Amino acid sequence: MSENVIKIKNLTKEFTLGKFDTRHFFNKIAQKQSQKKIALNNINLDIKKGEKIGIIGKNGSGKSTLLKIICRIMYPTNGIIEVKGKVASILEAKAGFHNELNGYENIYLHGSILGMRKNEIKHKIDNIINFSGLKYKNLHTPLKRFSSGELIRLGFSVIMHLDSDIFILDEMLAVSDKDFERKCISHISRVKDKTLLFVSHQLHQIKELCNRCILIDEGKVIADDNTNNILDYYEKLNSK
Amino acid sequence: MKSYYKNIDGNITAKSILSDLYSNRYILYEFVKRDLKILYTQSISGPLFYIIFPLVQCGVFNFIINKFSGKNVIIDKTFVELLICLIFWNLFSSNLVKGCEALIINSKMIKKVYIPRLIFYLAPFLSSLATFLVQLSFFLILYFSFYKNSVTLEFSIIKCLTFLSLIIYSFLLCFAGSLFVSSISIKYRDLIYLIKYLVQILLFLSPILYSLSSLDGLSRLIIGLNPYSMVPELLRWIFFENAIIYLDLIIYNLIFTLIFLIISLIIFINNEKYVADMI
Repeated sequence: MSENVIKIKNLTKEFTLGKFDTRHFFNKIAQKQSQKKIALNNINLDIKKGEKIGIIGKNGSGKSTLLKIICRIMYPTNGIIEVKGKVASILEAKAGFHNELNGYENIYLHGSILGMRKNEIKHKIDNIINFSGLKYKNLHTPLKRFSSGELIRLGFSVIMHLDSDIFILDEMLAVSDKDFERKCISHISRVKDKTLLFVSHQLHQIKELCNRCILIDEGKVIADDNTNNILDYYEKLNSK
Repeated sequence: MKSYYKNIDGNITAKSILSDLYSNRYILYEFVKRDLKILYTQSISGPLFYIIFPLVQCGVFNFIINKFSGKNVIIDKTFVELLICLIFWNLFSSNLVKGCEALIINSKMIKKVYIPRLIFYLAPFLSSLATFLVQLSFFLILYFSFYKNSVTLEFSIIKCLTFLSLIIYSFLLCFAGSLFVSSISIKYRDLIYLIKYLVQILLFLSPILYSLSSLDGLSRLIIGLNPYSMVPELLRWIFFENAIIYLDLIIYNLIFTLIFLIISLIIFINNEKYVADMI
């Protein structure tokens, strides 16, 4: 049995609803409780090393919030998360990009934001560009003149070359073309010893990539089993 | 391979923030590089703006001062004095405004990737030091050509150290101010909107266009309360003759900044966990 890399105990996350304006301020002075939304409700999870986990659920069910807390972007209202290893927190393929810089500079910027060192990027830059399938001569143009598909390709190619232990991917292959999607999926599934948390509404991707699947609804883990069982259950649930 | 254990339970300590900052120092480097590259992008005259802007600003102020004091010259020796004070002031004020907005400007990134948030405050200041150095060398050229004969140039080590520590002091004050404002305005942004106007007013409330020695009584006390007052006063002492050092002002300024910095850091650490929720 391999060790746990992520341990989640009694995780709860609340959000305050409404706008922070004058009315909110006076309500607070009058000690009226502002409305809260419980995004995650008492979640317990253990994730072992090397597991590929798919997370499914409706919009607004708390999938992304869970990932954000594991990435340390947000902090839990209650509960503890223990994470062992380097986390590549990638909730958006192009989050670190800057529009005015050219392709090369953006690979360095994006890579360092995701935790790569300069030498490491220098070493891998040819692989990254080849993986993205973009032409070398185009990479000298500022990023704002790239198409959105090309941006995703470039961002994802950097991500594919990270050497983190835990990969957290949130709905990222949705925009790219079939060709690149295949390339990424086969690349991810080849790496055996890395842990993957994968949120997607494309059930076929989850079927292909993940061996375990978690169904979240209204902030609670409803089901947690191997992928085929969960996907069957989810489809039944939706067809009702 | 490096493997480390992280506990995420909503408790943030100063130590964890600092160690995070250290392990992510490469991001700081890349951010500074990015800021330098995109400065004045898509402009033909590019780097000339470094110099033109303070010169014009300085010329206008100099003209106004001379008009009020009844002199009829447009550019004279106070111009150089004004220039160095304004170069320092621009370094401080532009970074204060940027720092206060740091969380809002970078909110897109804050919500999507984990980056130690102190980097958003440090990177702009470090990158604006480049502009500062260009302006400073331009000032030195002017200074030496104006004062070649009239002043016995005395540059001791103490003066050089004071000059360096003035840069650090400006940074600390700016850092404390921007941490304070941005941390307490995660929910209500009033202070951020206010600070742009406050900075404009603060320019006239610090001894840049006049020296403290030309004031007396209550007005000197009020101007002295401004924690930035020490910088232009000491600059006059470093570069020009006949400047008086107010030791009590310096001590007060240093103590104020230290306390302010500690308070700001405490507020920042306490508020950090709400940033991504509310920004």
